[in-house]
Amino acid sequence: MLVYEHFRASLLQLARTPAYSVITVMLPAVIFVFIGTTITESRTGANVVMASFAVFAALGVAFFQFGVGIANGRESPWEKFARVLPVSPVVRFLATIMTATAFATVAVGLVVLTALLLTDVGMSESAWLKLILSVVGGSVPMAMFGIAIGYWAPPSAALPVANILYLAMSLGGGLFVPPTSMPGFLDSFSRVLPTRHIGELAWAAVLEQPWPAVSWMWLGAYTVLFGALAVAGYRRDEGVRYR
Amino acid sequence: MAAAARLEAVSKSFGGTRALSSIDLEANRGEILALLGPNGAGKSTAINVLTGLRRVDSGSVMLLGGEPRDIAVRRQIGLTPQESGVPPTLRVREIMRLVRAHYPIALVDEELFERFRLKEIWNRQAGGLSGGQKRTLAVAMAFAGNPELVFLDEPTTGLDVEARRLLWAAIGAYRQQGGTVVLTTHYLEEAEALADRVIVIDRGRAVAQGTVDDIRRRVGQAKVSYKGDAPDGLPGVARATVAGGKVTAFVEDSDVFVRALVGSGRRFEEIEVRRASLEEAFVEITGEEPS
Repeated sequence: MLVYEHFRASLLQLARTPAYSVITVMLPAVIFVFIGTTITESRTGANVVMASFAVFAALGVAFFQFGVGIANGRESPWEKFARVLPVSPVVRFLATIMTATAFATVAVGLVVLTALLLTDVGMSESAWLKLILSVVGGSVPMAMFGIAIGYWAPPSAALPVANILYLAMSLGGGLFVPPTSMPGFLDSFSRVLPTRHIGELAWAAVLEQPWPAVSWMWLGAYTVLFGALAVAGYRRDEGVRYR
Repeated sequence: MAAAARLEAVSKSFGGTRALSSIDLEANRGEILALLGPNGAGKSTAINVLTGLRRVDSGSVMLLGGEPRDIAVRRQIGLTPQESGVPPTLRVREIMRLVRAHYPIALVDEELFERFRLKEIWNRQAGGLSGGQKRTLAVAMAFAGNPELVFLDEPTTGLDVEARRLLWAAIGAYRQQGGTVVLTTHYLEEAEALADRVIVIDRGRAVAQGTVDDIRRRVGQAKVSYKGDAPDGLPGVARATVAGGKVTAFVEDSDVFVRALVGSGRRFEEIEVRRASLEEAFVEITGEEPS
């Protein structure tokens, strides 16, 4: 299976560049230790903070794996070689998604594991399932966003751009500081960010409340918008590099 | 002989620069074709167009009876990655596993060991290989899928003599089995040693093509140098230079020339006759040193 071979090769490469992969995977769990474990007066509070960091962890993979990975790949001679190999771009893209999924699973898993070990988290099975679905669903538009960064940002700028957007959107979306404690104007701004709506879904899940349908709609709209940006960026790059 | 790859009236510009200018080029099945030319002449663009990395502005491209972007066609070609184009953290065996997974009847490990001596570096990460080992790996990657047609971009640049001979032998053996090779090189010695046919590319056009001998004939088969009078008016002189009493003449037939030189009563001493090199032909055709 060619998908598996490409997936395997990219996992091996990532595993052997720990400076990049270990940080991406562990950073959310490490920050969670410092922030999450201090807000544990109630089980509900612990659940909410864990949910926020689970989203934060998945976002990191979307930004770095797709954003920075694609930007770097655009200029690499290896990418040029791989294009001549008899393999469809769809297969290689699927392999990229598999790699990102594997990474996100580990990053989110570490946050959950840390929370289980150090805090009083706990919820029903259906709440866990809904949390997972929120994180997976929210990752779709953010992966599109990462791809758009990857194709639009110049390769040398992709890492700082991804870093800044990653932190700004996480902060703005209320993943570090609950939106309820934001001043009014910030809260209004926060409500247009995709990260806020991923958060809303994840929080509703752990609070065992029904999902706010409007957040799914926002994410659907963002998927279309970022998807279009990603496709436009891809086409533009193809036009410059392989026209 | 059937063509394995062909460019017909292909033009390609980047910005305002014309990389290929209505070029015609054909590689026959079972031959080793060398593309020669100065830097920026269009050799790499020609390869990029043939392998489907670039689209043409006008003209047509044929690769193994099909179109370069067709996956079924690409299963029958191999290509060297550029310098440093190999993932540094992957081991040689992992790279070979990935490359070979794309081809229906790839070479087995033993064949790779035998032809490219990959056994010693099989478990090493590519980033830690010496320049020569990287180059050998890159060439082996082009052959690993056992394709019908292989494109080699500067296959032995920077290699020591021994490594170069090893690759030449591997390339020669592949051709013996009926494989077709299109290579770019700036070692004229390499073209002379390997190529059945040479195409000289200059400013996006094929300015000369033929066997190594044909190309050499463009400047005359022999180079005659001596101190003495200018050879003006002597038979078969393709080109001659006189500098400080030293004459260098490229002639079609050295016997005829020398006989005429003696017969003309001109003054000459320290005469030297040797076969013209492809390099000299190259300078003559393009007006530039090869690079």
